[in-house]
Amino acid sequence: MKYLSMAALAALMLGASAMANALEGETYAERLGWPEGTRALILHSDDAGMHRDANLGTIMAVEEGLCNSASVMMPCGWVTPWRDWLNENPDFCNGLHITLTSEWGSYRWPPLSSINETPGLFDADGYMYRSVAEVAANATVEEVRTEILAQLTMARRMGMDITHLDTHMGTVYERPDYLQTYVEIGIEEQIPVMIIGGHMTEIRQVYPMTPEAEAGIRQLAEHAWNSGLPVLDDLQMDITGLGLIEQKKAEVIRRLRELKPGVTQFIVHCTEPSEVFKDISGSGPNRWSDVEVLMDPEVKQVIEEEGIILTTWRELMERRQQLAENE
Amino acid sequence: MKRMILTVACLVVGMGSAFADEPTFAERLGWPEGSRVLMIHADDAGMSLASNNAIIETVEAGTVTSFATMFPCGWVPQINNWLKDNPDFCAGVHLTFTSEWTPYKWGPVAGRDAVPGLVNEDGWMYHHVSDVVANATPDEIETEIRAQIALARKMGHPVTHLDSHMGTLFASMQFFERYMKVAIEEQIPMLIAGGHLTRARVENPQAAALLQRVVPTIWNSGLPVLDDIDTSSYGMKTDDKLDDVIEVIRNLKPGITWFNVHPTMPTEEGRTITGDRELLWGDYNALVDPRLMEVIEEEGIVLTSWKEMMERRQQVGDSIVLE
Repeated sequence: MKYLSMAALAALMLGASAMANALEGETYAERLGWPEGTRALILHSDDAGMHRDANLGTIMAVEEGLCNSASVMMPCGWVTPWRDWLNENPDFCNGLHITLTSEWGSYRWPPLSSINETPGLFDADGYMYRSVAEVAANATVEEVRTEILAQLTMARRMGMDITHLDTHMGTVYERPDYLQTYVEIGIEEQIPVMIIGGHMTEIRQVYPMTPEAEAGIRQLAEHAWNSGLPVLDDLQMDITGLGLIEQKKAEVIRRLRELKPGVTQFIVHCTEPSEVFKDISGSGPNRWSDVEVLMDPEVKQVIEEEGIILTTWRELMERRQQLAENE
Repeated sequence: MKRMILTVACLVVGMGSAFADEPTFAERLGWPEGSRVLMIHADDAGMSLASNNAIIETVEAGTVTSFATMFPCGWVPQINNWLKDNPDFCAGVHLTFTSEWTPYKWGPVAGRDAVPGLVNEDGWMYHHVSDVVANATPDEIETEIRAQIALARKMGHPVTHLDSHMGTLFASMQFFERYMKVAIEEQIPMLIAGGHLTRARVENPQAAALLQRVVPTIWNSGLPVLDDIDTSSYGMKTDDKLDDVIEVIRNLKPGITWFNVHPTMPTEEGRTITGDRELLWGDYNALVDPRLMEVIEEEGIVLTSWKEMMERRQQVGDSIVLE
């Protein structure tokens, strides 16, 4: 994610209320009606539908672990079994993992929109670009909007209830115009978008931002809030890369103990790698330890001990809507 | 092609003796009289890693001389990477209009908005050939044929020939006409047989009749033609496929026979996709068994590919015109 480019947007959208809230220290958790000091947490897994092994790992982490939210990659071939599982688990929180890249070597997917509609999203081989930078260099914001809507339409066509929007490889955060379009689609559709506007403690560690860039994101987050959508206080998106289970578990427990008040989302990539997964990506062992950590009884115990409330995008949106009714 | 399903009953015409004294297409293409020429052709490259790796091994074993890739599927880049290292290998486009497995699906290359009649209620290609026939227009079929060929060329995949996944293009005369039109226009060999048709007649007499009617047009347009199409591997028992395939090879008649296989490895992914269809591992096991090449050599069978057939056809030029 390139927050540096957010400066222009920040200047455009500079207003008073978001800064005021941030300075006052009121968390979005509190604004959503939780008591002061509440630490609410979403345990979210990316990449459902990407492959058989991603579906199996995600389902395992939900059924036998603490995973309570996931998001689906609609351009990929294994969406159907994920949809079938959702049909049997209709209350589960299923987001749209907006996918604008196809990053692996041997196993790839094209956009859902056609090459006539969105030529800037297709690489020389006819798939999505491998890197976020290539997307940003080639795709117009109109093309990005067309593809996001195509993915949302396809999800609905398959009968999926989309509880939130988020972003594969952070592509929508790469350009201010992409980010604004993403938030606008969420507002138009009244679907929560993954956007961070609170204390941002951990996200700053992983993705250092200029003050202007951070202000730009806060402005958009507040715009989303004012348009009826919930907002996160912080995001921890580096968990998959924390290593194998023992190392990852220790670090996750440390982070749970030190979790700050507010709504935080942990992002993982639950996968049960079969023998073919190594031909897709070398990340299989780290994705498997995501499953293991969410199934670990000690991790569960720490969450209970710390009084951390597990929440979902569905609950955040219900709370946001209730506030709107009361206003 | 799993099976040719022909719904156009009126096309069934008498055939049999008309070609009895004619030279085989092998002879027309310059092989000596009596030559028994064989193309073992693998379908479904690109569909899964299990099919790619199995096909690559059968190619390395020397038995599979030609394969065709399913461009709507996710593992195409892997087989295309192999082709970059083996650029002279005979690889075509397995024109795909159905997505026939339950868990793993694919959609049209042309895009859903361009060919709405090619997708089911979920937005993926239809499961059954009959659904495609009922819902797709010939224009949509042609659009998707051209999109799959264009994608192959865009990524540098060879386009040595065109054939038809699950035989969809043989299931409607209107679809077949578009297939033929594009193949002739683009001068890409297409799956067509017009010789003795021994196996084709047994397996699907209607399709065999259709094929025979259009053979002169296709040949005279500069494309090669087979003598027979053999898809019997689908009906073979899994556990003794090698013996069955050897039987096919020992009984080959003079002419060019196209023998169709679907090698796949029993990976967890492959098992999940196909619902554990053991007959596919059976193809793989038979084709990598060294005894098969021994029999091919012993019988004096000549192995060929679409690439070689097209080169031979170009050499024949206008010197042989069929009526």
